[in-house]
Amino acid sequence: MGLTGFEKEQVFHFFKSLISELGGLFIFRGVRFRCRCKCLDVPDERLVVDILAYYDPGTKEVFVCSRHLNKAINAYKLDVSCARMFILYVLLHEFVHYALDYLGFRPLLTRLPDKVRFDEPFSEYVALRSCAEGRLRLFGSIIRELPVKEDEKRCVPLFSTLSRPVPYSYFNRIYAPQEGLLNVSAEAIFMKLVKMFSGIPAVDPDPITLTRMLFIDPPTELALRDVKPYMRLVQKIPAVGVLWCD
Amino acid sequence: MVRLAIKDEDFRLAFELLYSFEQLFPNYLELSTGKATIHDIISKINIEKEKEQSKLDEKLGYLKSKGIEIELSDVLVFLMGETKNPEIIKQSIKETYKDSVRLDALDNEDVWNVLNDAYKSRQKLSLLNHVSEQVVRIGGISEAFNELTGMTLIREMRHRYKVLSEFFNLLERDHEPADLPMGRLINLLDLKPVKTPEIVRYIESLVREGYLDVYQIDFSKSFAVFMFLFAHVTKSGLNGKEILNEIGLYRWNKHRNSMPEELLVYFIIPLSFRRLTNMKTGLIVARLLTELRRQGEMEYVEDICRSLQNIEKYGSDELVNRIISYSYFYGDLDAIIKLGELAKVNRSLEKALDQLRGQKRIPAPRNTSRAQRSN
Repeated sequence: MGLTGFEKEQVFHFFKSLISELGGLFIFRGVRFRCRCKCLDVPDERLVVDILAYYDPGTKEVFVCSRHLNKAINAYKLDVSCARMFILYVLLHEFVHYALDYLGFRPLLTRLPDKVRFDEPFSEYVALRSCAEGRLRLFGSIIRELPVKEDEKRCVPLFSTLSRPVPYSYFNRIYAPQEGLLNVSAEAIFMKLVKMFSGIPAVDPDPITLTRMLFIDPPTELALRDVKPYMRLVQKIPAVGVLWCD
Repeated sequence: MVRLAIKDEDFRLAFELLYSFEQLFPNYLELSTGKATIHDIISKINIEKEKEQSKLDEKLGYLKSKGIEIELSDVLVFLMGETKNPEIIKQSIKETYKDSVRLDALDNEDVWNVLNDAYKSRQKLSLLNHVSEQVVRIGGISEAFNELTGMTLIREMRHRYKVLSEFFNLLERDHEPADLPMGRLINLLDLKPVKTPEIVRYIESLVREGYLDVYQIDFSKSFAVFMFLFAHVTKSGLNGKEILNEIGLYRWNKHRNSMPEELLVYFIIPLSFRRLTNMKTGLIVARLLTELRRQGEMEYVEDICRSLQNIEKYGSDELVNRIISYSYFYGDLDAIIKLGELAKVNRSLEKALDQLRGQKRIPAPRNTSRAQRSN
């Protein structure tokens, strides 16, 4: 498979079967023909998950842009199991956006310039971490086990190493090494950034300044304590509606 | 210098004996269903010697009846070995014996045919005697010999003994590290030579289980290094076949006849570790290297191996596992290099991590080799 490419119907089949396996996280709301999927005249080889699917805070729904998703799966020459994992990763990324909205972070995040939207690398990291761990974990709370087989985890490095533009690419600077190597949870770092940006007006710091700011000092116990209120809340997040845009 | 294998005299003698024996009885190994033991061969040689001697006697008797004395027969048979041309032989006899010998008999075509047969018998007898002497001289190696004759590899390679012999020489001689695939890494990891028979046994087991096809093995330097690494990982407790399964059937079938570095890194990376649990974990670093297509950059692989050594030396298995899992899932091999260097300097992996925490900055993958970075 993979080498000859997948048909749109096959990708839809993977998506549908995943959605049914992910009950409690997603509810399938049907196929839609008019979505706000971006028109890509010039294809960008770099991965931007939010082009493949997007979360609409207005309707509180996730929209999957089937044409772009299909293109990406074929462009990365994924085999069957990695194609399925890739769809899972995209859905989880959007679910994290939805969860952050549910938890009330959206007003702060939307006033940030695109290049310093630290929720994007956070969503990237949580989605990848979930695929690697085989469970969705957010703010120290396990939301649910995921349908990920042990041998399917080999797909995760493929996704992690795909080239991404800023701010998506920051996941492997801000969150992954801190949690993976230094044992500081991504959520603690996220909270630190929330606090940091809550205290400053909507300025437009350049990405270099941002990354410097991120490494000023590691999250403290206080930041870790900040995470705790969200532990219970995440358990109450209702399933998000998901639509397939043809 | 790098040497892959240590010569085993018994093994080589047994191999040479088998080679001589195969020349004498080309179909013997093929036809014998089970192992051909050294005792079978001794009795076979004795029977053949008797048969060949009686054939030769018969021929010499015929020549005598035609007026060619034994002494002249010997000379003629010798000359048959030098040239098959009767005219040249006759000329040579004339010049040597002048008129003291009658050469009328040599005008008979049958005589020449018998002389030719006698020559062949003499040749065969000489080879039989040589093998017989070898058998007596190396009586103590029956075990090595019996093992060899039972091997599919040896049986299937019976017409290509020289190829095998050259392969053994390749294994047993010193190489400049740069002339051998992974040579510098073998030195870096201080991997000692293994015994040649061990390597042969591992090839045999791979052939028997269908991982290798005897007819497609090229017995090149890359193959020699592969078998050397295979022997090392298997001896250390991590079954080499587990690694082959990790590589995957598709990739293995694609590369097994050329053994590129892409395959060899799967063996060399786990060997950076001493402890078995870490070796198993190390396999995923090899997988990541392959997937990131960094395996072609040997300097980078060297950096990784050196750092893995330091990480294991100065850290607990739990920490090693944590670092490798992180590097694997998020594609950050540079973190291994960085931590390995820091662990060496601090003589502790914990301290290295603390130092990294203190630096507040972890380099992201740069996708450049060490060589490029230094420019």
